[in-house]
Amino acid sequence: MKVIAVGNAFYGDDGVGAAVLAGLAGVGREGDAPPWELVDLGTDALALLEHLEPGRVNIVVDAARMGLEPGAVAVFAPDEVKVRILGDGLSLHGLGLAEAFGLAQRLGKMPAEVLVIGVEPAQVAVGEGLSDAVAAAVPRVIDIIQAEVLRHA
Amino acid sequence: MSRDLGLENLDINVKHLTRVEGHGNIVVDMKNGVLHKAQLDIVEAPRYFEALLKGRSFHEAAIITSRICGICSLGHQLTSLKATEQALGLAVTEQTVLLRKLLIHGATLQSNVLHAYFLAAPDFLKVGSVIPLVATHPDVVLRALRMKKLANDIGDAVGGRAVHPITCVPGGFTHVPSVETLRLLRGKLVESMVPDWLATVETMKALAGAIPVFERPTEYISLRNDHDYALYDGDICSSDAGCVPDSEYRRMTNEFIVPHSSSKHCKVSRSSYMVGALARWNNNHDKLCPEALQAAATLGLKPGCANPYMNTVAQVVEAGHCALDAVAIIDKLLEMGPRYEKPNQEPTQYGTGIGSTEVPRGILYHEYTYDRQARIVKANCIIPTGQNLANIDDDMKKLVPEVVATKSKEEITSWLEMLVRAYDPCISCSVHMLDVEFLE
Repeated sequence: MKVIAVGNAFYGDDGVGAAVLAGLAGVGREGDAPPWELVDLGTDALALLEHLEPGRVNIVVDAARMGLEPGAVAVFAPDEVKVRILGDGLSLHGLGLAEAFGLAQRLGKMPAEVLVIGVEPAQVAVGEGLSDAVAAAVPRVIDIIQAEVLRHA
Repeated sequence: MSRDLGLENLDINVKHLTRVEGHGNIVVDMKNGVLHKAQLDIVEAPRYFEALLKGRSFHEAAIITSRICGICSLGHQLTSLKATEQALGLAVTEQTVLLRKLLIHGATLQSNVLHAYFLAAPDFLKVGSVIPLVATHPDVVLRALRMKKLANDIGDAVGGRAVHPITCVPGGFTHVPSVETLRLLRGKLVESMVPDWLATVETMKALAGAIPVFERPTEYISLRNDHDYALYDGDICSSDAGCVPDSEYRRMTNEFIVPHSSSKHCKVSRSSYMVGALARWNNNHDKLCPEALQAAATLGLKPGCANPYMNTVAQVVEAGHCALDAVAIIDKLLEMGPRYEKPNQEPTQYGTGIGSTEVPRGILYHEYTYDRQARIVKANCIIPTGQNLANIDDDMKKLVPEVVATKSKEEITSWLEMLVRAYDPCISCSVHMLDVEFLE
């Protein structure tokens, strides 16, 4: 299994993916090989194209505006939602996860097993640290990923 | 002919929704043939991180600033390290400078290639984004992704990882790439990157007819030095006012506040100036490698170019120089024999230091003041996009009256969007949030 985090740890709740990876790194018995490979893309979402791996379960963790309560966690496949491309088209910063999924699909590089775990943010602004609501969601996300590991074991 | 043509009144308001609420909006207001407004409104700007730096140790500054933005992370990191090293009197070795130059080449290559293929090309081909190009031009999209990946590989080999490099620290590197890694990288650059770049020049040549014809001479500011095409270091050089050391960066940016932008504007000799690839080309074309100069000739890019839309062409030309100069740097490193050197982290002074670096979008300045515990008490960062904002407004104010009689509102809007895009502005450093709507 591959767990891929996208987001900026210095933009408040956008750092939820990095926090989940840090949590996963501390899970498991010492000496045991971890059941996942952890990848932190930072803000280079387009690099997802290089990391999605066919034949493996790919889990992508990111902050997502879903219109839910802050801290709410949702698990979905990329084709179950309309990921709106709201990139401004003006700068490279508009190239995000939506474009990465779009390109992967059209280039035939989309693995069969891709799950996105979205966490509804409370605050996204320059600054370190997660809001209380999102910090409380981190263990829930880790539970979901561990359950996925068991499901595929 | 469209009824819109030759209108005395023009009202354009392009709201650019991004993942987070409003960043940059294009606003044009023309009444009875008189232009009242043509400007880029900036409602949010990445200028808050100076506060994040206060109280931080010199080990942390570059890590924090590199996290400000995924696309510009390497530029922020190196500029930050240079400011810290100057403030604390930390000298670095020739090997460190060469490795940093290699990193800059990788970052510039990546940014320039992505901009040309993913942002400019869809405009030239009149499609909304790069995604439709997968169906019509799959080889071109795959080439762009291959070049991006290889540019990333430079970062991986030297920086430990591409996006937020970890081996690059104050005073040097914690890890130096092996002879084998450097040879592998060299092979990929020669066998894949250079041919892909040559193909890119041909693609750009085929698209060049779609580049708007528009000229507005302005002041071009970039770094410049005697020894290379200045990206890592140099004096601040103005096409109007000549060169000054970077200690005079405040005079050479002269920030001021305008009502329509939360990011400050800058001016020096005129009402505005331009930084970025076109400014570097205009000031330093004599320092480019012959292959890059050949590409410039092929693409019709001439010294003293005053067409801001040609910034994209200058980026393509520069990309070739970065690829070929990266090979030259690797050869030099291999000749010297890469060796581990303990980073020099023993401060010899505590004061103020300035770092100035050419990042893809133009000169980036960081200035830090350290206390005797080597903690930051004051920080100032001036980003390239802030420096270009006044220039973009001046371009719009000249462009709109020139085209209002002959083009439709839609065409003018498209040209204005392309103009802003040509500068590849970093309006708000990236927050990669998904906006999700569940299908019913």
